[in-house]
Amino acid sequence: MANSKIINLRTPIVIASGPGGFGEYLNVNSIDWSYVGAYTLKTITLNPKAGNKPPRIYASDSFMINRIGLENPGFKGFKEMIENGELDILFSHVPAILSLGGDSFEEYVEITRLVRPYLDKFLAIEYNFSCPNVHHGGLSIMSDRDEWRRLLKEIRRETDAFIIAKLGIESGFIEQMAKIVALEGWDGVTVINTIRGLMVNPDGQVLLGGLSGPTLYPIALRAVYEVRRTLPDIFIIASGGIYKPYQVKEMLNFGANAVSIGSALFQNEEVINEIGRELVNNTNK
Amino acid sequence: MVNLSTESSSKKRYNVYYLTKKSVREITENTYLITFEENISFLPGQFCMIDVDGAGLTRKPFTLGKISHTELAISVKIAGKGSEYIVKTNEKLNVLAPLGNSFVPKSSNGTVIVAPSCLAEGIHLSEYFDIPLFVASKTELNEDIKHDFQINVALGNDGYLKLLKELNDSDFDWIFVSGSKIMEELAVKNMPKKVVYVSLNEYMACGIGACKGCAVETSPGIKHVCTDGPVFRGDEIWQIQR
Repeated sequence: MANSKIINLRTPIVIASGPGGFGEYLNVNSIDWSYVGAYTLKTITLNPKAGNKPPRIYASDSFMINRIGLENPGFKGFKEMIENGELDILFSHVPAILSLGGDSFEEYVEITRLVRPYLDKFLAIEYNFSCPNVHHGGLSIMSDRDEWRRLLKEIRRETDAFIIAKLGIESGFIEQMAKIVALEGWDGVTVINTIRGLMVNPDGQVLLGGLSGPTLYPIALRAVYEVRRTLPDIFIIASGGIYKPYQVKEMLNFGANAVSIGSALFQNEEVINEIGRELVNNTNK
Repeated sequence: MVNLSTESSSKKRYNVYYLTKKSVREITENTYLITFEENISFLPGQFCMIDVDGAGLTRKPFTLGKISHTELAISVKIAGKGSEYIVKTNEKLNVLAPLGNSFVPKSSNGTVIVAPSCLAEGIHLSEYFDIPLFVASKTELNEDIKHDFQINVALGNDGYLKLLKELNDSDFDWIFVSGSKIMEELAVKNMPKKVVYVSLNEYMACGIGACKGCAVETSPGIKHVCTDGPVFRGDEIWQIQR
């Protein structure tokens, strides 16, 4: 279970996989990237995914639901993006974390092998085990505990990278899931992912998707608390409903090593500056 | 013509502007024309995302307009707390812009139909391309607005369908329509002789191509309103029988 790897983030603020796309926020001129410790790319799968049929997203006052469906260009598209320099602006401003997903055991393993030549550009790999949007991936991998455990073992065997498992709360108590991750020699966990939800938009369309937004915050905070209580050494990225500087501090106080900003970017991407300034001021006092 | 833009999306820069309201005028019930003291550089068809100061979880998208080629304007229909904040606040608005692609028609022989909620864009296109402006509205427009912008109003469903029939038989090469989804679909299906461009208003979260939330199904496949649009050819969105 013990491992010697460490990851040094220049700040504990991480852009979440999904909302940040493939670095599009670098095109917004108002963000001070020195406040950001790492930018997690949108999840890449072995084969391209067109994503779900619209509508894909809707928000209420306190939560939103998305059913993007892991739209991504697949490994080949990712390779082209890197080779064409499309991610260079991102790499030149902020350290990056790669996010990988898959529809099957074999796909997770294969993409782990395929990304090896590009890992010098990334601080870590986050594995998306809990995105509830894809019928044959995500939850189904974790729901067969033995298969998932074999997969964790296999991925660990395939890569020396700093590997982080992104965990949801719907496959059992999260601290138990995190314990399995740690026992298989992984370096970190991101807790939590979106939770399955349902809402109806003004056109009467039903959105079955992942719930995010402020509503998630106390659930994510409890998850961080439980995981840290169980695993004193594992690297934890806290994720879920973080919109305010005080929430970042709270997450760090309850044991997170970093905090992930996701849906809050949609309210105003300058939340990064707001949180960053507050953290810096706090550190300097 | 799938992508109506002449720009490359990879080279785009998005700015945040703090805009001071100059005037807020009622267009019709619940719908307002807001002008600003400051100006920003954008092209016809582009839009912005406005922060609602916590009155919602996402910035809200609005098509950009200019009045008399100089005065920056948006129009806003109050549909919830976010849009209500934008209309009522006296604070400066935090605006991310310009977003999306510009609308570049192949000829200047067109016309524009907008809902009152897209009036600012309609005035801009009408002045920019020197083309007639029609407003399709369920309720009568305020007289001073009609007078100031020389608007032809198509009132109610019957008035709108009559206008579409007339424009389908007109000499215009193209018709630009910006309003509700139903209004745009009716325009595409009732003007089969014309090239109809529609400015889509799918629910948006980021507005810059990151989240992939504003997907629409088009005949060439899934597209995103914020980076592939917001203006599309109507026959790519709705099938029509010519």
